[in-house]
Amino acid sequence: MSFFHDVWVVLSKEWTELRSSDSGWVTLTTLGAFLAIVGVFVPWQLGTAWVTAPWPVLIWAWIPLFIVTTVTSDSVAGERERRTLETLLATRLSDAAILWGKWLACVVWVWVAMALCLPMGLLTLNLMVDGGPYLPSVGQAFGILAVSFAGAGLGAAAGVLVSLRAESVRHAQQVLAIGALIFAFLPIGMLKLLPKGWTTQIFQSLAYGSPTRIAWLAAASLLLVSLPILLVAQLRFQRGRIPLK
Amino acid sequence: MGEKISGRVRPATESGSGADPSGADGSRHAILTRGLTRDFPGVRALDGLSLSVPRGSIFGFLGRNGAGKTTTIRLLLGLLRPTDGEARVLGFDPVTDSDEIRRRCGVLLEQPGLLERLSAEANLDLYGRIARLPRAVRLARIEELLQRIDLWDRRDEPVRGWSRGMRQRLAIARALIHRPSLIFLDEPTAGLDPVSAADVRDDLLRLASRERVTVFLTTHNLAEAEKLCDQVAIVRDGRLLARGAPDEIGRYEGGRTVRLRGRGFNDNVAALLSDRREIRTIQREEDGVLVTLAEDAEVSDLVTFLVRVGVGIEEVRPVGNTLEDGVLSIFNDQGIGTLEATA
Repeated sequence: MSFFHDVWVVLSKEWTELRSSDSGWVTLTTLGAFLAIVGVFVPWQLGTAWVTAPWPVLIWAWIPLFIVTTVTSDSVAGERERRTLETLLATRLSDAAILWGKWLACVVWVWVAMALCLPMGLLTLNLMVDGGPYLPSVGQAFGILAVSFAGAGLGAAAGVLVSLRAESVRHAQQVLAIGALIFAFLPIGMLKLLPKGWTTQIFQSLAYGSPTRIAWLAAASLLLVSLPILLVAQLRFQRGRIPLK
Repeated sequence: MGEKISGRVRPATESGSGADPSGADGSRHAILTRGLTRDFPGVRALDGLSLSVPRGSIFGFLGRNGAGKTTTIRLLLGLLRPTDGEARVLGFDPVTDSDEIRRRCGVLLEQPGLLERLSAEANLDLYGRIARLPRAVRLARIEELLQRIDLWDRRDEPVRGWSRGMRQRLAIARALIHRPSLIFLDEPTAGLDPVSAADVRDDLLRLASRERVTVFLTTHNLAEAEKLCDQVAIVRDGRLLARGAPDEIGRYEGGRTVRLRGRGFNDNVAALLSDRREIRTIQREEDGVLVTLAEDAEVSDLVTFLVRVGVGIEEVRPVGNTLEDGVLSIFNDQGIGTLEATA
């Protein structure tokens, strides 16, 4: 129980810092812009495909993965840059409690924002497109939430790992942005290496497959990739191994 | 160097100066180290440090920037692992029991490490929660500490707008939130104006005495160390040069310093004095001399001699040897520069 108490203390510290960032209106504007793009603009442009097609699931995975890296780099590299990380390390908190508290804080922060986009998108879709109602099944809705969580989880795991060694927040964000782009485009390049039959099958699945199945499959795959990264992050996030200023 | 040291001032080479880190006298000492060494790529930051810090004392760890002060604190807290040597902090080994050490210690590192966007109260509350203080205890403790450092009325303000002095005082309060047995303060007054530095020192003395806490203080400010510390250690390039009480370090040269003023002091008299066995050093001044006497010398013998050679003595005044004097002598013996000696 004490471990969970410590994780909660770190998590609430991170959220308090995020909430009280430099300017309240900047935070609100950023969140507003995010919701407007992901929760209104995207479903409006995609129309019914936003709910019926399986491929928009990739959007639910990639956006949180990309966004969470900025939050995580500030949480780890930024804390080191502001010289507050060492003070935190000098407390009785365990390495694992600090790591998991930070990881969870970043993941949940971004995941909640993504989750807000789901009802907003459905509202937008049903208001803008005739012939509704357009609603996902319960399994698809939870699959979307799961894939968002998994995407944020992977991004945060990579974010912690990179930020531990990065010289600054800017450095960490540059590395992570390149990593996120590679993560998005590498599979497209790799498709060309697969036998033609496989490629056709993958495209057919993305175009006509079950959105629910694709969502859960993507969530499971992302979690599978996250686990070894988190394990390495935990091995590296140890007092005595963390470079301090 | 060893033979010049007087009193309880000890050279770094003295055997047993760090006691036995795993020995039974751990109860008398808050910190014990033996041969503590830490290498970084291309540089030895700490070189065989052997040290003992008595419980309940304010211990000054003096040295220039890069002397190894911060590395020592990091090693003692378990934030770094030693390359060699061993240590005990409150009886615990920083390599294997660093959690127990951090549970019992408070820390103010080189930077205050405060969460700038949060208020003073929120900062203290966070560290109270980390220490698992119950809410009621935490709130009472926060009020007690903020009242003592005169920041209670400003508890709701984000600390980012505060002066460095106020932030340092808050950071000291944060270090004490869980009533630690030992606090590490790394250059607590560095970069502060004299008034703010004095405020921080006053708060520190008041809090340390009231809380009965052992203080391990690093500084390169000798005047500050002299005012605050019961014991000091002087470190340079990771090596311990000497340790002892500030006044003992001040008497490093041995003997007492006496200022003699009057009529008839001239070069001949100075030359006669410098030949005398009981005079260790002599320095001409406008209307007299400043002499350092050997351990066994009597001032009265000197005055009798001066009267006999025709000097009209008007004033004989012992001069207190400052910590700065001692440190300068130690550093001169080592053929190196000095620490900063600011007020």
